[in-house]
Amino acid sequence: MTAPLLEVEGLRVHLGDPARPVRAVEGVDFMLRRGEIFALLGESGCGKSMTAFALLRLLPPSGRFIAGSVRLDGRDLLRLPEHAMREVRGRRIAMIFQEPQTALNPVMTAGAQIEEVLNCHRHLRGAAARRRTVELLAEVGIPDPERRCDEYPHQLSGGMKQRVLIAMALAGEPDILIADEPTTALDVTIQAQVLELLRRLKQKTGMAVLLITHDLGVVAEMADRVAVMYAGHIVEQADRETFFRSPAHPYTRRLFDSVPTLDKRAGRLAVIAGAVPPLTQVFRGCRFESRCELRMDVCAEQPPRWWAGEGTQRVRCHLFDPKIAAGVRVTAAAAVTPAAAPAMAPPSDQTPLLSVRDLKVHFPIQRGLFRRTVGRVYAVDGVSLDIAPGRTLALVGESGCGKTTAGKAIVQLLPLTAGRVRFQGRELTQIDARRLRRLRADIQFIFQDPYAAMNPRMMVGDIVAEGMVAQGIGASRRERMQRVDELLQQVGLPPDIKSRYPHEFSGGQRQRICIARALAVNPRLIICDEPTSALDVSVQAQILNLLKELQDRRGLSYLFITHNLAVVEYLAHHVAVMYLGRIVEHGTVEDVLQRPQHPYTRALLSAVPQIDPRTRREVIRLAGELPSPSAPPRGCHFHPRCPQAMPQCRATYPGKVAVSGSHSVHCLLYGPGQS
Amino acid sequence: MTLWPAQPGRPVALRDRGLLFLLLLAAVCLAAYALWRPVVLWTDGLLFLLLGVVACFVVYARRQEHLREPWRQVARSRVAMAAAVVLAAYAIIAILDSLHFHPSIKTAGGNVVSPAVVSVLDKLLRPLREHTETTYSAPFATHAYAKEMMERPDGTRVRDYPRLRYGGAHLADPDRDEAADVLQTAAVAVIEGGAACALVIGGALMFIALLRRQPAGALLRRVLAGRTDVPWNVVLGTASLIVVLVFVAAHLGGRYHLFGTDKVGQDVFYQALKSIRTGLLIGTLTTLVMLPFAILLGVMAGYFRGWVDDVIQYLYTTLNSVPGVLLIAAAVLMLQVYMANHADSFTSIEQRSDLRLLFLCIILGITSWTGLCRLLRGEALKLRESDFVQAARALGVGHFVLLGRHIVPNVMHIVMITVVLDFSGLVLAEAVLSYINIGVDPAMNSWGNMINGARLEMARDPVVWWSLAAAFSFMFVLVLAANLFADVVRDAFDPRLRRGGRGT
Repeated sequence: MTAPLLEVEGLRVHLGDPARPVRAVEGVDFMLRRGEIFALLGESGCGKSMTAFALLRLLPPSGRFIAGSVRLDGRDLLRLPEHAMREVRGRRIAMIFQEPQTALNPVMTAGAQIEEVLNCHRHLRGAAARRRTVELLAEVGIPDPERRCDEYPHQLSGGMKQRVLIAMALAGEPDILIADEPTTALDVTIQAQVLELLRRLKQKTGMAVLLITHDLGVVAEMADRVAVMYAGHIVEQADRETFFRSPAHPYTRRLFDSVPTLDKRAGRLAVIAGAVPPLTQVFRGCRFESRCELRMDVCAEQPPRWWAGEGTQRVRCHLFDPKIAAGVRVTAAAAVTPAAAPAMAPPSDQTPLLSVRDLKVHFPIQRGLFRRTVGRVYAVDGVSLDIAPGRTLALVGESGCGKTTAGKAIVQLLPLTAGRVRFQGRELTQIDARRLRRLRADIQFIFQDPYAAMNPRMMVGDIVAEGMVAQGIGASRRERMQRVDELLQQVGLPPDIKSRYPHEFSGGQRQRICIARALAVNPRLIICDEPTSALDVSVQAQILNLLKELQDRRGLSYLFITHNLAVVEYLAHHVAVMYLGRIVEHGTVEDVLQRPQHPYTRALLSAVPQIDPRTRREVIRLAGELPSPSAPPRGCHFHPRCPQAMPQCRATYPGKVAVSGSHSVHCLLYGPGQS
Repeated sequence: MTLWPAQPGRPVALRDRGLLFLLLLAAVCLAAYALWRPVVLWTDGLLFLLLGVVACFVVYARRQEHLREPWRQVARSRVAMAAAVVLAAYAIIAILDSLHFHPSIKTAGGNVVSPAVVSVLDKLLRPLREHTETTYSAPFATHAYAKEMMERPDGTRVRDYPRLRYGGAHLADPDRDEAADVLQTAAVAVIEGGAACALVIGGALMFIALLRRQPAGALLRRVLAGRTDVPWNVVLGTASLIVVLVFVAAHLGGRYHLFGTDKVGQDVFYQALKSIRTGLLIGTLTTLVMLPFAILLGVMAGYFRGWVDDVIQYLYTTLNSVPGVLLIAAAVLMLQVYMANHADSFTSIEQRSDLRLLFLCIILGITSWTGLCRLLRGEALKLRESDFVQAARALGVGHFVLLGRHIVPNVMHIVMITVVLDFSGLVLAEAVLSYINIGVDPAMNSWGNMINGARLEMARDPVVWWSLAAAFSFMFVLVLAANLFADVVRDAFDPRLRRGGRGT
């Protein structure tokens, strides 16, 4: 075993007012060896990013070190003078950030930004720097690096920008690479490419990678060792195999349980009660105590110290204290709720509640003085779908495929270019504005970002009641407020929050308020636009449970727009896969997810990081990126990236081919089909 | 996290009672004023309207957490509170100067109502107004600024600086006594002012201590040490300083000309004080004129887009491409011609100059709404795409309800910042416009007119500098206070600088 490269001991970082500090990092210890990937796993607000910034001494202005040491090759970084620290940043420890969109300077070319690093740390200038930049870009897998070198960030796609950032980090030839949620902002297929790249680079250069993430799947695919952070400190550390075979800490176990999967769809997902405790307090006992279902008296009284688990595993939990936990030890396997067999109702043959035919939304591209239309963005280009009452249709696709646009067009929030939308037998595209406003009560929309979906100037009670006022539900304010109380209770919130403002609530609570607002007008159909993608896994589980429960109780239909296939498995009855404005495959959940036919669906499914090593499949790598919807490729939209493309794919767009009664696909592999 | 309403009931109730008391006081004052042959000039009326609007806004803002919190942050800032006290002092002078009435004159046949219009401030400053010399005299001078031929009692004629009629007239030997007299008077004034402040503040503290059942000593110590939420030590300190200055000015102003006299012998200090109303009115009434245009048009352009946006954009682009000064000059000259042709419809000089002031405010308002309108259009464009507006549309909320409930409250911070920042600019604009003779009426006291007059005085030898100095220092203090206040308001309302941010 090699000597540790980086050792962090007792690191404590406080933020804000010294009288009431936010104890963002409270006693973090770990070490990093050469050539390993060490994952720091945790939900938002647990202090994992702050730990990363602390290693580079890049704290926000109000942050300060309280105690601890960060030793790189035995030298304590926290005691180095600033000029020496500049040598460390980029040269010894480099970092890549979560949001590639904002991490690059928009007024400098990609090449210039890499050359800057080369200048600074490698003292390369002029032609030599240029040569090395092209090399680096080629190394991170950017096609045509000579040309890309002179392009500006806005000319690059998201995945490309993340690669440029990685190239920048590599330019200093660092020993340690800190990757702070490097793929969170990327689509699964791009995520697979970037993760693959990181793994390859690690093997090639032998650098150590500190991977910060909230995604168990990414950890399972990437990490050699794992540490779980909760409320400012690490609660569990283990190597990957042990960690995934037998997660030890109760928090980790609940985290595993709350990941939605197909075999959990019959029941409710496990949730972690309550919320992460505020980090302004001084903890007396275990930090997880208030939310732990295995808590004991000792948990509230004294903080647990490190105990050995299986093998190299170490856990900060009293359950593992041999004295205390002789009898109460619960194995990981027993904690998992037994999975019931998926009980799928037969496909309903009722008349559909919503029926969309050949929906098209094109945005004109206007140029020049007279705003001449010079082109079109084919955001949605002929989408047809049906939703039966009480059913969930998932619309799956990567960002930019037009799924959100389709959702908004169905609710008539965007003007349609063509197509028909029939809801309960009424044609929504033909009725006048006044009647449409009445009909809006029946179809509601839940947005992706619960932070932006509520007017920050309104109180919760008024937000929920807004639709009732607009639709004339409830005779008086008192009556409406009574209904608001009921609705808030239905979504699991106390009614006395009515006179508070949205900013006082966490993401999950806000999403509940948004759901209550939608329910207030008694809708039949709710279009959910990635309602859980801004939330942590454990909170996501709460929202998914709620949505499922509401469907059972009220017979709601959902059009569930998402890129998260795990959520689809758990919640949806039918799935439609979208690619570049069109649906390429449609069927029941089993059809599409277990017997995918379209090459794109297959690639998408293979790219999803799997927690369970048994279900892991070979990742089908897609060449290139999603083409621009303003100039879709001729013929089949997917053929330039398709591993199975045939010459005739270039000529015609494939028609619909029925694979089975409930399963259809648009691909020439299965015959020409009828258009 | 702030929990609202989680404030203990008592202080809120106390503050409410205070507000009620103030309202009652204002009502009584108004009633007394109404019995007193009032003359409400156009700008007076609009000023009162503005005060009413501000009062309504305060009542409204107290119930809106998103407005209350930034203002509370402003109230916690020392700089802002000191600036606010200075601004309040200016505002009080302007309000006193806006209560106009017909004075009564004593004649042989009893009291007769004079056709002239004077304000309460004029009445208070009567000594200053009436102590006119023949021509220039320097600050604190006892002798005129220019030599005159004088006849001695013995009949000889000498050319010398004559004694002033009022400035230091009570002194037997000015050269010997003046310094001592000034110092002594000032000292007495400082002591009196200090005592008055101590009395009022002490009384108020005792009263509050009694109400809250706390020992007054502890309360005083807390205030002095600045351990209160609002920095009362700064507020009271600044207020006391101003009161002491008022006392000093009152004592000395009756005996000397603090800022000298102008060409026709008028007291410059009096002119500078009278100019406060003009400056403040320009700064505030213009805003009142401009806000409806800017908010309505800006928000509509951004929200409705399409042809509405086109029309509004063309409107403000056109207006913006006409040089503002040209437009103002044209409008003011037109008004002058109109007034010259209809001389009989204006009964007094005050009325005429008042109308011109109002017109100036309107034309300044018309030329200055475009900036804010553009900002609001951009913000509304952004907001209309935001999820919460989309959600409201999905719920079937009507356009105008949506504008009123979702868009306008979310652009209020921009309006607030712009209004406060624009104020000082407008005060300065008045000075510039009057300087080039297209500002307020030449008969009206204003800093611009004073500076305009100083143009020639600066060319004299020896230089007559005090008109300029007086105008400059009064304007400087006002604009500085306004800018300091605006900075803090801006910081408090700017969401990017807001602490806390999202959820966690």
